[in-house]
Amino acid sequence: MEQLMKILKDIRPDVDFENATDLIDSEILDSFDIISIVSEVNDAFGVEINVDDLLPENFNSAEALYELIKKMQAG
Amino acid sequence: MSLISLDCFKFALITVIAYFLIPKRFQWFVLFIANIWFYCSYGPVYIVFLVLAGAVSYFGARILEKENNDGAKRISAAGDDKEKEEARRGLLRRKKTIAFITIILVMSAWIVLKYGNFLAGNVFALLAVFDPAISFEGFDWVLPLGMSFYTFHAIGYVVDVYRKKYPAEKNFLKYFTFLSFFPHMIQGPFSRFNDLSKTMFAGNSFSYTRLCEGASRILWGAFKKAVVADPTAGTVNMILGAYADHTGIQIVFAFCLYSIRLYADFSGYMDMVCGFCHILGIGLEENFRQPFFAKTVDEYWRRWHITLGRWFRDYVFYPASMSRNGMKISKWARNKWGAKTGKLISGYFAMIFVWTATGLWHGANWTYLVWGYLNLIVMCSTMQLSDKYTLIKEKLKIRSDSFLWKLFCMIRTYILISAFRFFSVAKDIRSAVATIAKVFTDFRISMIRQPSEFFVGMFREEIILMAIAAAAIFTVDILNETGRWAKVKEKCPAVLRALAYSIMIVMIILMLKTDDITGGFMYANF
Repeated sequence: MEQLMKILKDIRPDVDFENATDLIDSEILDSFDIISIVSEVNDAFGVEINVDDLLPENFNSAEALYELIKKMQAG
Repeated sequence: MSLISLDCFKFALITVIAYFLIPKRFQWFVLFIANIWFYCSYGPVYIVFLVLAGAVSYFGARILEKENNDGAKRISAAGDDKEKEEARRGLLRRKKTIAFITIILVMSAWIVLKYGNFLAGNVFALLAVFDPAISFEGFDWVLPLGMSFYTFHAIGYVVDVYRKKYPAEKNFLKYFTFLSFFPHMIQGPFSRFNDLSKTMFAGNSFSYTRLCEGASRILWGAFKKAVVADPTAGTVNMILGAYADHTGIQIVFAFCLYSIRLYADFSGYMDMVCGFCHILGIGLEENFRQPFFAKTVDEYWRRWHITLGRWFRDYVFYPASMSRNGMKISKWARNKWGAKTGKLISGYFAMIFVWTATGLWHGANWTYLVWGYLNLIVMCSTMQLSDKYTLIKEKLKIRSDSFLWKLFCMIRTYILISAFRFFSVAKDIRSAVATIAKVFTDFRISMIRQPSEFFVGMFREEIILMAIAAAAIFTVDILNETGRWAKVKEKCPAVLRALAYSIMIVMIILMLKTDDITGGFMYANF
């Protein structure tokens, strides 16, 4: 989780990723942020998040994104 | 059937009455009949294309759905990890092939009818370089009503089923009711099947409150269309159609008026269809959020024709930026220029596809491509130079949250958006360049003392009514932007509200009496 938080903070230092639960619903993250996050996460965690996984429920919070990564790593 | 006509009013009234008279589980069938009736009123022959697009996308999605289910079973039945991976790859390959074939079949008639002349014209123009005797007269084809919209709806539906966002609809007639839904088929908004079907097939009770709210929104939309959009059409067409006979200041004025006209026309339509759907209890997506309050071109496109932007984001931007090549570009750019530029470069790469598609979607002409690329260039350079802008603002001690700065940004965006339209309005690149040249070589600021020379072809009464209506639209937009409109409506006494509605009706009638241009909507041509 710490590594993910660092990635998110590097991309958007102005966002409170610890508490935000509406990153997509409230349009806090834009499409450019999303593709950067996916690109960084794929590299850092050795997963392959693709366009089919771009659902609000996967990106609305850092916690949800972490769950997606864990699910992908588990296969 | 024009939307502001007695025929359309009767059609809408019969639909609403029939919708609430029959049992709830059959309500959608009333919409099915109404859609067919509405479409056939524009020409029964063209419904063939709609049925074909519907059938192809319906069966394509059903096959994809079967693959999704069977594939999952095959993967879980596979023995070791290697077998599972092979089953996964095989499933993906089959799904991609099915989706690709379905989308190509859905798009084929639309591509031929919309882009046939453009493509053939360019091929013949190229051949004429080698042999001047070769010429091309053009095919005498007509693009069926709403074809661009229902084609995109069908593609979105197939891709969503491919991505397992929701299961494919089993009932063809229900799916066809969604695809041919007349309120969103002429000029949007773009709806997702799973969103719209929640209220479209749920069975809705009649609500007097919804009837009043919906009717007032329909009136507001008709007011925008009849009092602002239609009366200004003649002025805009006369000046821009004969730009050589007008001065630069008249041309600039016509482009500013064109932006207002397009907004009144398009958002007026959205108000009418959203109001109608609200009466039925069907939730249609909003397509506008005070676009003239946008401070950048990028923000403008998040406020104008919102659902089209979202369609391109979901079905073009993300697939392009997250494709293997998109990711490679992103990685390469990050290593070369750091995280920030890396993030932007892969986005720019995807935006080239988005704006090529957006340009061509609006029209099969080089002018629309140039218009799209102008948007692209301004948006990308704004993002690329954002750090430098911040630095300059700091040096000049400009506060980003100050009213004057925000106002400056809004005016700048409005000017840019209107300026891009030099290309989207012109019939070819040469005319667009000549119009721009006319602005710079024959501006004649002194003409500002002759206001009658600007509203060419409009009566004095029309100008007054139009100006009042435009001011009313702008005021409502300000209240909406500042979040006060809902409160103002709630606190407004019934008498005052009735008076406002009466004034709007009187203005519409007065305008319809003096003006005979009412009819088609501008975006329906796209």
